[in-house]
Amino acid sequence: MRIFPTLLLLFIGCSGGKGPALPPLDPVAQPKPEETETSDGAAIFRASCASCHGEKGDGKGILVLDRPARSFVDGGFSFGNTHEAIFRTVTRGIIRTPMPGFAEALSDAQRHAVTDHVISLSPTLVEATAEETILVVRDRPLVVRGHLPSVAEGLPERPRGLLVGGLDDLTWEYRVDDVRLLAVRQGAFVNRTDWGGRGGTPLEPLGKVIHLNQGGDPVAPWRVQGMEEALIARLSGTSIRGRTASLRFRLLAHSGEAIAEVETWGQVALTDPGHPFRRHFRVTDLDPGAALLFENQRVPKPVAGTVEFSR
Amino acid sequence: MILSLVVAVCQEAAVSESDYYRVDMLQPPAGEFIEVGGLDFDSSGTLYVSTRRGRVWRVENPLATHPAEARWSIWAEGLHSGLGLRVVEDEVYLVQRGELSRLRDVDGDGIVDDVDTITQGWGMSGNYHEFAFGLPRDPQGNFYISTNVGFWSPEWWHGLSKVPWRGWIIKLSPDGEAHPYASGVRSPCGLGFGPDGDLFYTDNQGDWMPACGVFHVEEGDFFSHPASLRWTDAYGNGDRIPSSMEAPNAARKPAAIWIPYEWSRSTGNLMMVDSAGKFGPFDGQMIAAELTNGMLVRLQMEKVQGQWQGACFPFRRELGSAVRVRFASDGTLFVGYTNRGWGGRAPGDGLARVRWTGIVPQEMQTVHLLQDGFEIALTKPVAPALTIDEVKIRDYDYNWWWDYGSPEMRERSLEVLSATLSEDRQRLLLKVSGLHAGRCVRGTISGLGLLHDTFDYTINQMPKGPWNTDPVVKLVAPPPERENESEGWLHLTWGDALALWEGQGWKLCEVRPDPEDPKNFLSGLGNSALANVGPNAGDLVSTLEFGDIEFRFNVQLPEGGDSGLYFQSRYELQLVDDADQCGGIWEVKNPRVRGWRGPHDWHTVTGRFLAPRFDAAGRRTRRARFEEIAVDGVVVVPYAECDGPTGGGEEGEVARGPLRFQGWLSPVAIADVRVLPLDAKTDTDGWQHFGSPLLLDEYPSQFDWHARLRIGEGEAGLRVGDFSVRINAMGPSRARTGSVLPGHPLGVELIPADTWFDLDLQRRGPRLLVVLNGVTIQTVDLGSVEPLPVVLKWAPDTLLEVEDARWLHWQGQE
Repeated sequence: MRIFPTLLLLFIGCSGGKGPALPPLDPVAQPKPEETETSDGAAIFRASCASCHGEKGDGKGILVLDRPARSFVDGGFSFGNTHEAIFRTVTRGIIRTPMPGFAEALSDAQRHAVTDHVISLSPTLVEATAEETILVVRDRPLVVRGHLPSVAEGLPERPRGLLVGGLDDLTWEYRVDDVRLLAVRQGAFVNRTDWGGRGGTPLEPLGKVIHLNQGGDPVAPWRVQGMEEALIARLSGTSIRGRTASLRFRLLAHSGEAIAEVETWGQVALTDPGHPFRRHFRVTDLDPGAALLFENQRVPKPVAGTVEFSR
Repeated sequence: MILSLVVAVCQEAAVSESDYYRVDMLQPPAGEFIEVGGLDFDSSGTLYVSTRRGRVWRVENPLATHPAEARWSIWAEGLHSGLGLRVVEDEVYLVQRGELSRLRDVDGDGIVDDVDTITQGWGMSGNYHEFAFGLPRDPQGNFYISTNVGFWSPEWWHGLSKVPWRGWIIKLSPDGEAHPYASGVRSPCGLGFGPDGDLFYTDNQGDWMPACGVFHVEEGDFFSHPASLRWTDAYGNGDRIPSSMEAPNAARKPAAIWIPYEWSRSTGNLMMVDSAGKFGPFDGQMIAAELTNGMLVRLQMEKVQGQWQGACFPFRRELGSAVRVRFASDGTLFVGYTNRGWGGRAPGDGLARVRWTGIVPQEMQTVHLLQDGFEIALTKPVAPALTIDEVKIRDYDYNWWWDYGSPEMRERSLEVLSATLSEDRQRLLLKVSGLHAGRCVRGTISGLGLLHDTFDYTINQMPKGPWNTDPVVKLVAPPPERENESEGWLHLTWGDALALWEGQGWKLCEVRPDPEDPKNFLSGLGNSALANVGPNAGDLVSTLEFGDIEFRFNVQLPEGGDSGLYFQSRYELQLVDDADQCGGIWEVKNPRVRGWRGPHDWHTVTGRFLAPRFDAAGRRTRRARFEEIAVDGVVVVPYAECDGPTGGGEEGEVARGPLRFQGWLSPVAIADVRVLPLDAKTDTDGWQHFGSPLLLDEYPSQFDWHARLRIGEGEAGLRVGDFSVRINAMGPSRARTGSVLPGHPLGVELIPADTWFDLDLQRRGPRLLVVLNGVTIQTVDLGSVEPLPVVLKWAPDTLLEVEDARWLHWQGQE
């Protein structure tokens, strides 16, 4: 039987999240009680977290879970061990795990208090000089261009890469020599390791890969029906509007003919736990005669030259 | 008496550059490092500063009287470095490492929202050194960028053009088309327009670049470094790689000015002085930034027989690691600094302003070449008289070869026949014997009270006579091919430096002296050192084990530092800030001579360690011994034997053991640790040799397999069942030679590209041992005891050579 505990705090690879609260996907933390609230971090921990993480924070709680709870005593937080990182995980939870977010269940002060308590259970933090290189998404999305490391074993690095860090905890990882989504990550954003030494080294994306697009080495996804060769996706730029960051690119036939302009962005999806994010596309037809395919599916017919669709 | 004192004071004051050009530093927000890559102003006078950290800062009020009144804000971030920036009609263009971009603050909130890609029209292989610099723009709206060649082994500075247009000047048209414009560049850090609106670029000395040069760029030019020629018709547009050792058969365009090594070792960008006298008497000349020496160099050009050439002079020293210069409208020269990973004079980051004080320095304003000498214009009349003895002229040239830079070659003293001052004492006519084209001329004029008394003039053409085709940089026989210093060695700290080491508190970083405590280091971001700068630091122990080895490593200690290297974790070679002890064997032998030259500097320690020998019964038959231990090339201990572990060593004696750097006692930094195993097996009895490197379809479950390999480009792998033992020449996967995929990647680059090495596979049932140059690197569980094929596979365009391929049906007992 799967247990959906309430008011528990389970760190299975904690998230150093970003931006405002992400509504928990699964499970849902109970609303904060209206009676007097405690600001004693240890007491909150006992009430809200210990059933999974154990009273000592050693991961040995009384509830049996699909995946074992994080032992804070052993340290090694996967998504960052700073107060900021842990606080965000407490606030938002970790999608696709039993760890709920406590944005509604606990007040801001309570979440800070329990974060302090979690830190007190863990080994002493070491302040690394490298921390200045860690970029954190705060109140607007961040777009970082750079050299991407191999996204999975045996795959090539991408010297022309791009990371989009959203307010929803997700990082979208693209190669942009020919624009293709490689992976979606969740958690902290990126460590700019290229700020050390002579530079020129790969970035270190910090989020945990939650989706490898076609194994991390996708084929070119755009085609024109009846045309054998895939289209080239030439980057036109990136944009940030409010809470959304998008990539713009132009689809070109191998002859150089422009077929369409595309803008794409990604978002967390709240309704389908099996597919925790969606990709959105806005396509502007430059060649109305061409029937456009994306990942072998027909792109809806544009109205007044433009169409939007999601995957 | 009083009068002469006043004169003396005036003369003393007159020799200081700061009397004429004052420098102050702008103050960025606390804690921010401004590693400048590009500078330009918008129409309101706001300064935009792009940085190597991928940010663009806006500096408002940059000309404020007090530097603190300038207001800094981050305007854009997340960019892929930014080594050239240009503001065009108040739109900001930036050359990132991989694209030319336009940056736009759409909603006017002071932060860039849109980064529009204008073009990505040049290749990137992923090599760290593939910088892109810029960003001048011509009246037709074309931008120009310059691209570095990548730096690859066997020497770290060995320039290669792995992908199109590395080593080129590229013209980027307004519609985003990239046109390869001129080739033969190496490390072209600066690009800008000079006199007559002509385009110039600066290059940095290295292979095929004898010194730092300033080149006039025209379409179709080839300058010096051969790597870029790969992408020309003559080389099949990528099909053939130009030799990195033999000079190419290509006509070179000579540098307009070669800057002497003592003035420039790493030239940055250059900027035309066009300030209507607000920067002193040098309008029409150029100022070049110089990183390593931390100074500015003045360039004065003239066209001789239609070709640019001219003189250079030191201009302003003791600045900092100057990489970028840019004039403001009031004649203030902004100087941007950075030296991270490059090395240069402090300060190594930040932004300075250089302003003329209004006092004209006594300088050589111009040096004009005559058929029989030079006419030198002075910035103001000189007081003293001049004798011929106070003028020294010599000339020299350079070698064009693959080695790193060239000394000044074939030097001669030239006879000065006369030195005549004009009546207004503002012109000096030098008659010099033996001037001819294809030489650089260094002239020093003492006794005139010049602020800088030396010029260096590059003669490509004499004013009259036949067109000279003999360049300053002479084609010479290449230097004898160096023995590949990496052959047979294992580089234990290249690439992922800590991958083969374990030790608490050790980090990959850069170290520098702590100004408040000379017994300590300060550490910062970087990759030049492994140092025990973390808390509770202990010893650093290699995960590999060695027997007999030759060794080489670099070490740095603070004042009073005390460390050591335990061979096999047992026998300690002393590393201590004491020349009477450093290099000695603890408790066994002190140095016979002093080799150690002091703290806070890198020293190289070399030598041989020979492990103890044991008979079949385990009795020791030979003591552990050291031979030829040298510190910075000085042999401090020719020979020492150890009758057992030294103090602090592990107990007992063994045939193979790890290296252990002592890290608990004091700060220590090490770098570039290499070993040459001396005890590899050479017995080939019973081995079966392959006629070719092609392999058997099926091997028994116990076998030894051996080959000698060299890989120059690409990637290869030996498949053993479901696993692949990687042979890597720094390919994109970064699973280095010795990796076993899946599951056992190695980030450390034990074997540099283009280096012969021995690869042995030893299968013992389910276990597969990977042995490089006689040292076991990996032991992998194959999950099978079934016979398996061994298949060699390689990626397209891989350059792999195989020798001495053989195998043995191993029937021994473990």
